[in-house]
Amino acid sequence: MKKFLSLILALAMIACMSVTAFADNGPSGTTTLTTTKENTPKYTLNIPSDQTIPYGATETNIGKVTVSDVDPSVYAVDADCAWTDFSDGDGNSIPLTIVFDSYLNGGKIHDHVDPEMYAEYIYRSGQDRYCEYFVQIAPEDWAAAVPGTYTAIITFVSTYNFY
Amino acid sequence: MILVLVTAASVATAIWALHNRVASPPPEGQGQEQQTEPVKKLADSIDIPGFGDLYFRSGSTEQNMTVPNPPQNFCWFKVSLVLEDGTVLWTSDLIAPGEESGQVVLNQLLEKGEYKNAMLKYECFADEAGQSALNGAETKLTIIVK
Repeated sequence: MKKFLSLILALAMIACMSVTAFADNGPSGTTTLTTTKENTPKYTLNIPSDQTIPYGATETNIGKVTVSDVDPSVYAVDADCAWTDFSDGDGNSIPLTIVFDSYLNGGKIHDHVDPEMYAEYIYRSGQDRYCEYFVQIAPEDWAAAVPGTYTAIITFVSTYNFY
Repeated sequence: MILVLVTAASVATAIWALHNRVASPPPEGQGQEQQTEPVKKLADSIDIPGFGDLYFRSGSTEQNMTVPNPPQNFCWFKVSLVLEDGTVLWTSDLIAPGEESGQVVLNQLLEKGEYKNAMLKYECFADEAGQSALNGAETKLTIIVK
């Protein structure tokens, strides 16, 4: 009787355990592995899109430049910028300059720096960094401008460093 | 007698477990379409995709690369790949937010080697016709041709 009960108990245990194991016992074969490498973005640069400058303003904050979605292989990203003068498309222009403040872990580390002279880190691994940009127009340039609507384009330039 | 009861209970449990495994419904969320949340659009800024080193094949102008315009953007992109000497290797059509360029097809074959200080130049426009220019960006990179 004990042998019979032992057999029943053993069968019950097997029935509880082995459903998926039965399904995998098919014939052997080969498997083809495929992989694709693409050139994909390693970080996202966020820049100000546009801004209306009030007439007569000698300095206007136009927003931040930041970096996000950074691939772990990227150690640092720095930024500078270039810009055009304000133009009305009819040969008239208003000169401008751009300066930036840079921040590290919430504290300002550079104040009103010329981006043509100095590229600042906007990302370094393990640090919280960003830059804030300002447009400056001298009072005498406002005074000398022909009435009209003027536009200017800023091009932000980023460079990365890999580990 | 106790052994008989225990054995009977085990067999019954096993049969119930087997039956239940087949009959149980899939976990919540499986077998249904994933719900995607609407993208929150940027109001006064633009997200620019920054590429690292680009790896290209020599002997072919067609490269395994496209350039996306992130869905959170409100603007259209026109993107050019430019060498340090100003040679334009490729220019995209206007890319709408949430879409990507066609495959990069270079204007010329590149010899094997490294091309440092190349860049992807992003021109951004507020309108689909590409008339109302916004601020733009240039992301510097190295092209490695193998």
